[in-house]
Amino acid sequence: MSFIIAQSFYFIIPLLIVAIAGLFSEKSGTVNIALEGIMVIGAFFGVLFIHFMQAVVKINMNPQLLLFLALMVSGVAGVGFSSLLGFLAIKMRADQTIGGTALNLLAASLVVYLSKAIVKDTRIYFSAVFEFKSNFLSQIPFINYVFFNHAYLTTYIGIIILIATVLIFKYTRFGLRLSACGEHPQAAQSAGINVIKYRWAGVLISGFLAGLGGLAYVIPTSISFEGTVAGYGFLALAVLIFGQWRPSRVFLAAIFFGFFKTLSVVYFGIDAISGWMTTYPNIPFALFFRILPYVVTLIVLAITSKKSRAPKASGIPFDPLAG
Amino acid sequence: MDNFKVKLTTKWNEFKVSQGFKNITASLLAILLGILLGIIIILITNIGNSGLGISRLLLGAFNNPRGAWIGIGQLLYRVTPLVFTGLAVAFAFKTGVFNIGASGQYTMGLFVAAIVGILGDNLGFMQWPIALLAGGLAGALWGALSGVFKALFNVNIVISGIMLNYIGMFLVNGMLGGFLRPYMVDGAQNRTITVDQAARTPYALLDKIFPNSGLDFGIILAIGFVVLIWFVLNKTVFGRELKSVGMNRDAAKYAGVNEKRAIILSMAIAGFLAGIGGALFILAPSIRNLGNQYSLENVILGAGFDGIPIALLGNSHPVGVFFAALFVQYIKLSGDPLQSLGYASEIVNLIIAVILYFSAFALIISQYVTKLRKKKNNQVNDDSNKDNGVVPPEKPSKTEEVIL
Repeated sequence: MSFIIAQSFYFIIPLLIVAIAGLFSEKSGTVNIALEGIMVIGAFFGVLFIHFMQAVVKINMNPQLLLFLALMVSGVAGVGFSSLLGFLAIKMRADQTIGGTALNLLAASLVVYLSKAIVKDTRIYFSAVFEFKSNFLSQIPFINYVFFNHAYLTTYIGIIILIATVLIFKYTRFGLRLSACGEHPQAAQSAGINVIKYRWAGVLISGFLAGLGGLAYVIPTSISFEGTVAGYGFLALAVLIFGQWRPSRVFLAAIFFGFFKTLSVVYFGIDAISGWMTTYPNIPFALFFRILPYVVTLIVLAITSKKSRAPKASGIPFDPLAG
Repeated sequence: MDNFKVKLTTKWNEFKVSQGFKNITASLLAILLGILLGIIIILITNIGNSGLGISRLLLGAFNNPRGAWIGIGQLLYRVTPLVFTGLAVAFAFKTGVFNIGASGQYTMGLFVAAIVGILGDNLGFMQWPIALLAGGLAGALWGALSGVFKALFNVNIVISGIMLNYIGMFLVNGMLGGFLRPYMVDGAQNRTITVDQAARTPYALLDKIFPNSGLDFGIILAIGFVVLIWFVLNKTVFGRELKSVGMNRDAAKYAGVNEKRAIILSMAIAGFLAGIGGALFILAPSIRNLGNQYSLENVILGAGFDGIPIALLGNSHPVGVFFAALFVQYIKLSGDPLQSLGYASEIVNLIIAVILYFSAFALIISQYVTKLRKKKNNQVNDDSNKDNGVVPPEKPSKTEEVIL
């Protein structure tokens, strides 16, 4: 059980971070279909940085510090890439869905191209030294297992991001103004808010978090990066919709989806299921669990999408001169 | 003769100010920017080989070592599935629906056509048409699913499309790797075996015109469907109804068009087109009648995603889609020749993605340019404008509303 919960966190945390990334963008009024691509870019540059430090420079650095620096690299790469979305959506007022799709395709091929050009391979490896492996709370084995022994720095960063996001949108002037730009930009402008500036802020914060989330997805679940995050950016978008654009609900939605994603990876480790698998060898359990997260996403969205609480002006370009 | 010339110039002048002309210049602008960026990337990656690299990039289909003529044949052969995925995205786009799920529809079409093509031994000469139709229907079902989720439950169509891409891919790979493995898969290569001879699309003499290029009857079907889709969209009440939903949802509703029905039907037809594309890929006899195979990798096929830039470059017009697909495939054929020079073949997809990015706002740039030119003209001879009346202000966005 502890194993499954620890595993779940590896999936929940990146989903949470990237869904919050989407939240910042959509709250400010820009639909961010490019989350997937930004994750890919973030993961690529983060992993490349780790690979470089571990295998090329061979510097002896505290792994947690290395991971933190790599996460920052990922975030900055995400900011850079998301500025392409900002340019397209805010400056050029072009179709955000098409632009976002273009960025997803661009990220996928750019990363493989760079990977082949830099490390002469489509995969970049890193040594997985980032697990805490501490026994800080060995008196309470369960908590110790999930939050200290098998935890990653990203778990804590994710939780901090969640709390910060809740506070920002509830209590800060910045958060309230950001929401205003996504709900009713004309009103925000007449109240003296620079809508364009806030929308840029929303997109760039979104880029930072999605880039960081890309690396947060790769580190606990893999030992290499191969240019894909397996549709995780789109799952995060589904989490955002299921969470109805509210940070705390987004967290619950991330737990829900993360659980099914975990199940699709660890199902054979669960005694009951492995029992079924031997009893009914003709039923394709592997296939069933593999498509489960995607099917669940469709069903859950079908149930919850009727009453959408999306920011009203999200996806609609804003022209400051149109009044 | 002079009369003809005058007619031609007036036609040309009319065309020059039409929306179609603006769309074409916008697409060309996007292509130009994309290729320019590709050249810059080649220069940065390895300047030593860049001369040869750039020429191979631009030569596209003409890189074929067996000559330009075979290159053209191969271009036409390879472009066939892309014309269909391009049409699949474009058709849905006309109803205002963004069909990002074309990959899943394409994969389902390919899969079901392969089943009929490998296991339908008793169908005789009808095997390939039935396999083709079955593939189309599988794609239609997959597309209609997205439409149903949108129409009945308001599920964001981009997300349902992506989810159905993954579900389709895992479903197909799971079944082929599972209970269908003994019948359909070459275990050593982890690919499907080729379809039966009777299931292959005929060459229809095209192998005589373009020997050993792989070109088959598929391209004729592709051209036929371009015409058919153009006809449906422009000459039938049904097509006009679908388009009215894409142009203005409220007005369409007011005019009595059932929006939900339109979305489901449009997605089903789009899925049918993508499914036919997948089916034609797997049923193609290919070069020297070797046949095509599907590789069981857990990767979503790119052919569906290629439909998006193709539809956009072609401005969702069936004929435009055909030429855009030709262009995209032309550039794709530079991939391997570039790879052999040490430039990763992904540069080609990179260029196409950049073109898609630019084409998202190329129309805005080209409108801006024409506006500037008009302004300049206005300053030069202010009087001429009086005859034309006031120039209407141009909206800097596409006319279609996108339903999400």
